[in-house]
Amino acid sequence: MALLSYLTHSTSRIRLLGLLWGEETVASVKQLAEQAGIGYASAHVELTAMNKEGLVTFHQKGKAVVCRKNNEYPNAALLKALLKAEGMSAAPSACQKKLTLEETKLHLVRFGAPLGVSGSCKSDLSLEAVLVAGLELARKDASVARVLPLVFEKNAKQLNRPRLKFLAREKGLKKTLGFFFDLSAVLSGSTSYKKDADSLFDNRLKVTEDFFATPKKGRYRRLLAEQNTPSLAKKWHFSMNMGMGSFEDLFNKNVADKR
Amino acid sequence: MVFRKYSAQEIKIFLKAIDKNLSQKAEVIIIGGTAAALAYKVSRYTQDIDTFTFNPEIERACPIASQETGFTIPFGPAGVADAPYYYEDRLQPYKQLQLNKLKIFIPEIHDLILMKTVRCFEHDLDTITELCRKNSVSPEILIARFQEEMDHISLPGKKLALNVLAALEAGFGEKTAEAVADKLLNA
Repeated sequence: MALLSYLTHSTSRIRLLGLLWGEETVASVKQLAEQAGIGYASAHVELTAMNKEGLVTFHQKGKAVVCRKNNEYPNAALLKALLKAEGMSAAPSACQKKLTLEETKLHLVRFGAPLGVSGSCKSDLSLEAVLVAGLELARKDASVARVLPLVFEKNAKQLNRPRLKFLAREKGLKKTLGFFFDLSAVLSGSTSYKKDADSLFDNRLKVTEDFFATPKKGRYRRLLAEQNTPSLAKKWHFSMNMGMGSFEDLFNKNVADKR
Repeated sequence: MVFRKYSAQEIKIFLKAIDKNLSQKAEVIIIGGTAAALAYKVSRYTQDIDTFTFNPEIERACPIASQETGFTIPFGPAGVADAPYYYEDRLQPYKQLQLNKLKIFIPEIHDLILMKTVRCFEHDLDTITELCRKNSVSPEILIARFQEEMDHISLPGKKLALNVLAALEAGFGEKTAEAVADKLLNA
């Protein structure tokens, strides 16, 4: 962010531009403030100024007013090129671009997942976008489910949790994310993950669903899920044939500093 | 920028580095997902090397291999592991790498599948499905070996029988499992 930081001293402005133009986020002022890690008032001042400049537009989405980049902005190409040069991901986020199974795994490996995979991918997706793709894949691939807590742990310091929650909600993965925050809290002993999990817990949900959406799941596989679902998964109304030992073994083997 | 990863190659490079740093001959039985990937074409696995036993010489060489290759691949005894009684008689030497001091053995495929039934979690069943799809596996051999060679494994109630039925279902379909359910559950 060397050139941008030179052109403007405002971190708030840079972060908001990154979210709106770099990652093509459409969100309310409050959501943008949370994801940018800035106060609501600062976000409001910056976005109002950006709107006046023609960089962003506001419009109604249901009951909320949301902000998005203005595609008609005359210097859009220039701004996108600047953000790309600064490494602020001018590529479409995982929300828009559908990743293949192998691409998702490769991106997870970029962030420390010990998955067996071969191939190459561009390093253009943010950690949060990759984790959201990982949450989706974890519901189909048990190996990915096993490694996700490790990815959370290895990237705890740089993870933008409001951004991750926002992206997960957009994809209908709030419950899945909550479960993995809770699981990561248990495995790592982190109270902050516990708080994140609690913020996503919805008391209204009572129906248990299969965690692994395997098509044509057989009778015995379902019986094993009934028997082996750990209490943590039951809390989130998931049924899954994976004991805590399975997550713990892999986590403990790969994490050097255990809390 | 492009990110590249070749896990199977990395595991082989790591094993060669262990071999290079051994001060004497050592044998190891590799089990689990990596065994399935190295010998039986399975593609879904986590990059860690589970072994059946502990070998102090290999344990000593591992960190040196890590430093030389730059790969941190956990290598050691699996948390939960048990096998059919005569599995040692059927171990397959792993010959796809030219090694000097390190001798690697992989369980025969039916033994590897039955080892996975001891725990039989979702990823174990995924591996069993892929093993059966990509290799020649006989449900009759699995059933016979379970009945004749696994009564030393104690799990509560009929848990192991249920696990084996889930494995047969994952590998060959519901009908195959249902055809032997009474036999296995009431034995």
